[in-house]
Amino acid sequence: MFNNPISAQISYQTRRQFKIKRYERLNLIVSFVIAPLLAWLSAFIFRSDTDLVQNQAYPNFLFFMLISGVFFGLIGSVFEIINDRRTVQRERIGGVSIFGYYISKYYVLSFFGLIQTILYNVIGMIFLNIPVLLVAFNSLIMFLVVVVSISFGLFISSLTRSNMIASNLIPVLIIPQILLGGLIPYSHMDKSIYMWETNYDKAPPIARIMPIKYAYESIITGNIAFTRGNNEINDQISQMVDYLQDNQFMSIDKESFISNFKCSFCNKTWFYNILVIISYIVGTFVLGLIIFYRRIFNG
Amino acid sequence: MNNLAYIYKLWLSVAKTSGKLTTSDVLLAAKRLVEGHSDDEITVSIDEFDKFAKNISLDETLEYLHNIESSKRYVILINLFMVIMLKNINNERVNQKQITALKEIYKKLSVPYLYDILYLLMNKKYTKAHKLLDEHSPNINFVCFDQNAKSEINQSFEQYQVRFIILKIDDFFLLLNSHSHDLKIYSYSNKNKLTLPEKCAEFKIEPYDFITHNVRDHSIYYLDKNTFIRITNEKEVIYLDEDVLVKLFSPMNDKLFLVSEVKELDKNIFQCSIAKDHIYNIKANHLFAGYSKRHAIVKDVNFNIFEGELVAVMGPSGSGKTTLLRTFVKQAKILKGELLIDGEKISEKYFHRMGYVPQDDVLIKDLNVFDNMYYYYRLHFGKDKSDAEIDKLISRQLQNLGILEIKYKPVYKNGKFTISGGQRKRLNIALELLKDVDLIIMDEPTSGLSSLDSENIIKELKKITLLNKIVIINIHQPSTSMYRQFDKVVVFNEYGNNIYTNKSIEVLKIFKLVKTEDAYLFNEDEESKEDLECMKCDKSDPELLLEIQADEKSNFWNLFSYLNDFTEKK
Repeated sequence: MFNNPISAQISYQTRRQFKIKRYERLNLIVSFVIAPLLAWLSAFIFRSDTDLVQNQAYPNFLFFMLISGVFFGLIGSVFEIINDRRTVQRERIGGVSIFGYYISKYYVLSFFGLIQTILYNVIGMIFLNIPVLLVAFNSLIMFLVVVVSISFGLFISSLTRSNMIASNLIPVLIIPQILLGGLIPYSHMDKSIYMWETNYDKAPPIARIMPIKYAYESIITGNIAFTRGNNEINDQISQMVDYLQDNQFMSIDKESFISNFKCSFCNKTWFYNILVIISYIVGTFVLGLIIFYRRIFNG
Repeated sequence: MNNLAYIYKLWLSVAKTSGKLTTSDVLLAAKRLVEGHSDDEITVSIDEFDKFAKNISLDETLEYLHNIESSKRYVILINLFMVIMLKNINNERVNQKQITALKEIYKKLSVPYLYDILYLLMNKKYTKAHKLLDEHSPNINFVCFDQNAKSEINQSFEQYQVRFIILKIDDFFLLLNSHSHDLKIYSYSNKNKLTLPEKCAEFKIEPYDFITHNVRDHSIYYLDKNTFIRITNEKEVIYLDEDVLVKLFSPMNDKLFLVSEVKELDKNIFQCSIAKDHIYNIKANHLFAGYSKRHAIVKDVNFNIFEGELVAVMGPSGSGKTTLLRTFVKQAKILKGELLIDGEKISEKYFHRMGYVPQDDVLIKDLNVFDNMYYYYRLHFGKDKSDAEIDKLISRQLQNLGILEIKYKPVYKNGKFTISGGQRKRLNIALELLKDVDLIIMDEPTSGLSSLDSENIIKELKKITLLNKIVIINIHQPSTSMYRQFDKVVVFNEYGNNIYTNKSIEVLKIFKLVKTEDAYLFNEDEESKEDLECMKCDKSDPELLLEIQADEKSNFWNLFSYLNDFTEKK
């Protein structure tokens, strides 16, 4: 082989991907305009009061922020590999690393996802008067959602052979997350979604495989944990969580929630959920990479 | 009248001793005798030579030869030997009258031993030739590069696929090519007075700066200061230029006549053995390949390809041409038989010496031509060159392929390609040339292109083979002029059977025969009779291959494969 180290390959692949993105100028502008536009729209809709403490719809804003993150991640990534497959097949013959190509996609898409996340949160901060600390935390969770969605998107892109199939799969990934992400109480749903589970105080098994559920749980509990110093906000958000918790929002037993001091529970939960999301990212990355290798080697 | 007229007279005087001359005699002689002469010299027609020859005596001609440079004289005399002997070989008999006349000329020109020496050399009797030279002519010596010769240490040079002799006469060198596989000599202006290793390095970087001369079998070539010979096997490349030749013939080595012994003595003179993993030969032995273990798409493929060959895989749609090409890059599986590169089973270790261009354009649409090439290079070679050097390299490759003007053009813009199909194909080739690969595999390089573009692409590919690269393409419907460029053709039938593989002209010959027989045996209608007439008028259109393959009614191919195998076994 040509003995070009993998680090150098990743570096050049990343530069090439950036150049490709830069070439699609109009597409880039549109995606950067959409993020603040959606942020403004959801902030406008979910602003029952200009004071965050009094804003009853704040959790809804957070939820739709995460859904937007899923949307940004998937749309950006789901067509990426399908069109490049032949290029990678050709370059592999000369020893160009498939891993290098795949990870560089992550880097570049994540970078653009990060910009979209920041734009979204800055607009949200302005319209909803969200404290900076919470904006930073919200941005982190949204970014993780974007990355996990990129991961899913690249996985689909590795799996499918045509843009048409890939675009048809986008709603399959987004709609269940909206339905089962935790915003709509599970008690309002058909009991059959619990399948083998008899404890209806828990989130149903199908909801527990939705990354958005963990992200939403994390962002809510994190918002409580990070506003401990501000009792007004903390209480307000806690009340919302209580409301959600009554409707079996939490994945952890109600008893453990009650038996623990709220904040210490929240402290643990947001962090635990971040780890779950990261494991999703790693898992789908590995899976996508395996599928991609198979696709490249099998033509 | 120039030199050629005298040469013609000389040849005529020898050839006529056997009686009537045919057109093929004259053509054969003309081909060989103009060897080593520039195009400017070859301006006079044979008619004019004929007139001249009638008006000049043999003695005057010999006197003329006496007075010209000895190097030129020897080239003429040895060429004369080749022409006469070749004609005799073709007739499968030795014409004693011609040989006597030839010997007489050698005698008159004070080289009476030349015939015997040449005869011994061409018959591989090197030891006897050496003895004869020791006895008669201290001004001639030779070194033999022979694939079959064995030295005292019993080393065979079979893998070089060459059989040629370097003759040192006085202080100049002549290459006498007995039978070498596509032997090439390169000349280089060498204004900067580069040493051999520097020339070798330059050859790798700027191969198009070197002029390639193909040396035909049974011909002689004068080696001047600017030329060098390049011979390869699967392990190394050997470059021989004048400096090396001087060392080979230095007094202390005067007993040497086999390249193996020379190599043993001074390994440093072959210091340009650079491309150790150079792909030199590709061989398929009863190869079956496909995508699943149970179903072979291509069946019983056999070929033997050497460096410098442009090979076309031909057959009807769905016959497995693409599958065969994909087998090289492991996109299709080998189910039975073997595919060998330089004698070893194909594996990923050879991938970096290969370039595969699929049928569809594999370009990044969202980059311009330069960026496509720049990143392709960087991804393969990292930081081994500066940006300026890569820029130069890219410009050179684009220039060589005639597409320099699109260097900064985007490949795709506003929903359509901004460069033509032909330019895209060329760009794909340029990408592979950046990697300096030895084997380029192209799937349908002419599909979707105009006939002019297609022909130009094939010409470019042929040009690439002159750099000792192997190019394998599959092609559905080549024009006659395209077909002429192919060195070998691998023919598939509609069932994926490799029905015939040979040199392109041989394939056409055999298919003509097939056509005649086929038409005669199976289709005795009026139309077929007309076809048959056309065959007799020596139509040499490669479409013939397709016409015959398209005849689905006859079960001819199975019979043909059977007969072909049978003939080979016999």
